[in-house]
Amino acid sequence: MLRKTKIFLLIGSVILLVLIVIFITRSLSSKTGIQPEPVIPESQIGTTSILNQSSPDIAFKTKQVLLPKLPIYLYNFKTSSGIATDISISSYKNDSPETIRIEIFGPDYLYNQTDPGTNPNMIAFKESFEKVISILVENNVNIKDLHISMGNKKYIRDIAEEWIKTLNLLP
Amino acid sequence: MKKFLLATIFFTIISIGFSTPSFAVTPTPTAEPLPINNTPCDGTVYPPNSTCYDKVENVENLGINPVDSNEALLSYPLSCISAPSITYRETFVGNISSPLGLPVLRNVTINTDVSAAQLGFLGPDSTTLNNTNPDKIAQKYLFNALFDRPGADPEAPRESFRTYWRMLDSLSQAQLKAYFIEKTTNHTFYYVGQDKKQHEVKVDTAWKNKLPVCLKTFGLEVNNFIIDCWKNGRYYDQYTKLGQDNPQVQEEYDALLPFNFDNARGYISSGLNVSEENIPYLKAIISGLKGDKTSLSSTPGLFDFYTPSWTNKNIAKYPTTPNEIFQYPLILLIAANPQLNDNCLTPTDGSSLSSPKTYPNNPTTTQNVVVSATPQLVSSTPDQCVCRDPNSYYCYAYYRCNSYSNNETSCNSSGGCNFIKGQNVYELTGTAVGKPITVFNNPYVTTLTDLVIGGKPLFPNASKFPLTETARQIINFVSDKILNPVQPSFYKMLLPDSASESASPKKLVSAPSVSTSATSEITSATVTVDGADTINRESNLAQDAMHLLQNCWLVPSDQQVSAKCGRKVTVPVGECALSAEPLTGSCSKDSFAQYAVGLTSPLTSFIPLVTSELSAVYAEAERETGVSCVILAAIHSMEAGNNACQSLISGRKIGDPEPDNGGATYSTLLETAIAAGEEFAGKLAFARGRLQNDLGRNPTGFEALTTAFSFYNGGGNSNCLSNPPASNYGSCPPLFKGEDDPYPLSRFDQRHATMYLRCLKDNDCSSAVLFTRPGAFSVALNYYNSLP
Repeated sequence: MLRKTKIFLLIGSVILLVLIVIFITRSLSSKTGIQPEPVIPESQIGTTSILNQSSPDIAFKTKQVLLPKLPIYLYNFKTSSGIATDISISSYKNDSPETIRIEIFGPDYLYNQTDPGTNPNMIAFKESFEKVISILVENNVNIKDLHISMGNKKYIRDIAEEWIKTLNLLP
Repeated sequence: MKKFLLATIFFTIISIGFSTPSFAVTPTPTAEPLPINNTPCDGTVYPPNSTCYDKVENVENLGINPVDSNEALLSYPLSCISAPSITYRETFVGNISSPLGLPVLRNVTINTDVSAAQLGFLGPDSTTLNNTNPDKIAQKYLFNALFDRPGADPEAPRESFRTYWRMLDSLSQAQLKAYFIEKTTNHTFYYVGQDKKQHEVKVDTAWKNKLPVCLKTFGLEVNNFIIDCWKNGRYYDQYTKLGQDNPQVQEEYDALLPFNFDNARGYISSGLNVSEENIPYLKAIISGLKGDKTSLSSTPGLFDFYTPSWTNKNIAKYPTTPNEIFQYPLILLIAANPQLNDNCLTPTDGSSLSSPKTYPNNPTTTQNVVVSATPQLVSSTPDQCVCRDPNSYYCYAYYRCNSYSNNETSCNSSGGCNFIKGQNVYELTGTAVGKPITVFNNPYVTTLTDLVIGGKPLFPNASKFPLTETARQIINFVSDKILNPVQPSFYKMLLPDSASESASPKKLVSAPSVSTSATSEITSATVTVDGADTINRESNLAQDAMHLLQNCWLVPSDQQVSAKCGRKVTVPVGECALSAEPLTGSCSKDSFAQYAVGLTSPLTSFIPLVTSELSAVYAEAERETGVSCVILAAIHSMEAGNNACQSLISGRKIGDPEPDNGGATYSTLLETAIAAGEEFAGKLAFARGRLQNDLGRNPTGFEALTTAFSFYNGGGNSNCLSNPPASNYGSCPPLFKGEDDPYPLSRFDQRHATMYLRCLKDNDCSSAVLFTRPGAFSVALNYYNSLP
């Protein structure tokens, strides 16, 4: 009996999860702007990110160190995959006081492969992100002390964070 | 009650027209300007598409106007090329002993050349057709407002489909075309086909042979077989079969505009010579409105469908003559006495639009004026007696030439002196005004005005005279009902009486262009000419009035976009919070001008619908962020279709969390506009640096904005990225970063006519999907062009 209950609970949970995914997917597809389609499932808003590990207080203080030097732009950064990237480290007036924007343009975030062995964009991203870390170090900033936004498009932020995890890019 | 019935009939017809499947789609007239070879054609031509111009054959008689509204005494309403003002300047060297005291008379010849004359109104030239948003064309030109349509562009806004021609039922369209084809022997027209390429069609015997009999034969009186074409719907069967057998010919047949594109006649005369002008579009519009009715045949016009037959009388036709040279003496007589021309003596406002040329013959004329030039002494040198050898001290000491300065004889006989006569140098200046050149406008211009706003009563200024109300009513009854029956008109049918009286002040059309120069008998003199550079034509009232009717009277106030509607648009915003404080500004095009340099209209004709409230929000966000309100309007169009309740960031409902902005929430539309503007400003700065790095120079406004839009949207849809490839997008590699991205440039031009989203749907990037909407830059440019 207990076993049957567990099975029913398991099946029910799976069905509920599928329904939630369908609901989220439909609500996203009804938008009118051009939304490059996310390749990975949308993560919950507000979920703690590996890019927001430090306390808000440390993040705020670290941002104050970096702020006078922003924006930092690096164009046409050559990577070993052959993909050149453009890097922007910035903060806008109305951004949250703890957050720094790190945007890496050039990698194709919609590329079908998620294996770094077959996806040159992940390599380009990896080397670019490592370049960002070195720029921050040059400015006496540890990236782990910052709260980071990887761009103004959620699909890019999600994929970038996934790659950072997969490639273990944080020090 | 009568107006109500007429309006009911009108709107019933409209609804029938729109609910009935269209029989013949009238496509855009042309895609490319064609070279004009300045020679007359044998057959009729569609003015902006012609490689030649239509020669006028039957000319309306010049004389007392017995036909139309009595605004003009002459059948040809008069206007003029204003009198040239000349300024004369000459340096004159005179004898000191006989100084100039009185003005000097100088003869000046003024040359006027009207060979570049344009029509200035009614319809566009081919360049305008191809470079201007069709909605704007329809707002400006009467022909397009009534009969044309913006090609096969599925993205064209509905407002631009003002072609009343499509309201006719299929039978009427087929009959009109049959009549036109039957009467036409040599006609070439151009159209843009489904393949988006320009096609040429010659309406000649060979082309007619490809058509089934019912589509090319109108003659009801010919035989019973033809009558059966119309009675039993055989024309439609044959049309359908044509589409199956020869779809290309069916497309060509659909493209035909069966209006009378014969030019009408106008004259320009200085009193010394006569130039004959060829006036396009006028007869096409009138025949479209009133049909073509003769004693032998009759084809309907739009008014036949709008009104009961008992109210729709035929327009009065002016008698014509094939020998217009007999009109010349009267033309020269009138032109020689320009003081008779009220339209020339009274300065009036003018307006003008790019339009076809009128190809006047004898385009140059001269007139002589006499300038009374007033002398003004500039310098004076007295008589002098000087040594022949100015370096000789002996001469100076011995002859003492100075002592003979007042005596030429003694000086010259002294043996060592020379006498130099004194001189006065004057500047002669004067002005003069030449004679205006009289413009004889075709009489059907008045007919056209009457068809739009209704004819003027016989005694329009009766209130100036001491008449009783009864007397005025009797006079105007005689005028309106007996002498000059008031025709149905758009205004009389649809609007209250006050509308036609306050429709629009009459403006002459100041059509370009007149070249005027002046020369003096004194070759060293300078003569400049002022004025006399445009041809004032009668008149823009019909066009202006139709603009007000279509864009103001028949459009709900919250959707009016024309500045001519004359009042601020207000829109209830319901539960949508636009801003915390009321906003009063409006979006100005100035801040976008730097990005529009050198650009014309994009391929798409879509213009975002920006209400005054939205305009105020974008303007305020521009003030806060420095990003042009035109750019913000385009972003809002891309993300939310300019819905006041949805954010600029992602199109989500205001108040919902924004995943793109890390789940942030915004309580007003303005807050989202400022956030989007701030984001865009950052992307624009980044884009400029990126392009400068790539190109080795400062990017153009077009380049910088395109790249910024692409960065703003993440750039993930750039069509030259591979895996997944963007299907058949064929313009790789990109000219610069982001140039292959549909977010900025979809439907901007032919290069960006077909672009793709790289993913089919969520989590499925296995194939690309065609993106049919216009991109942000395309939208922005159209919005910019639409702003006053």
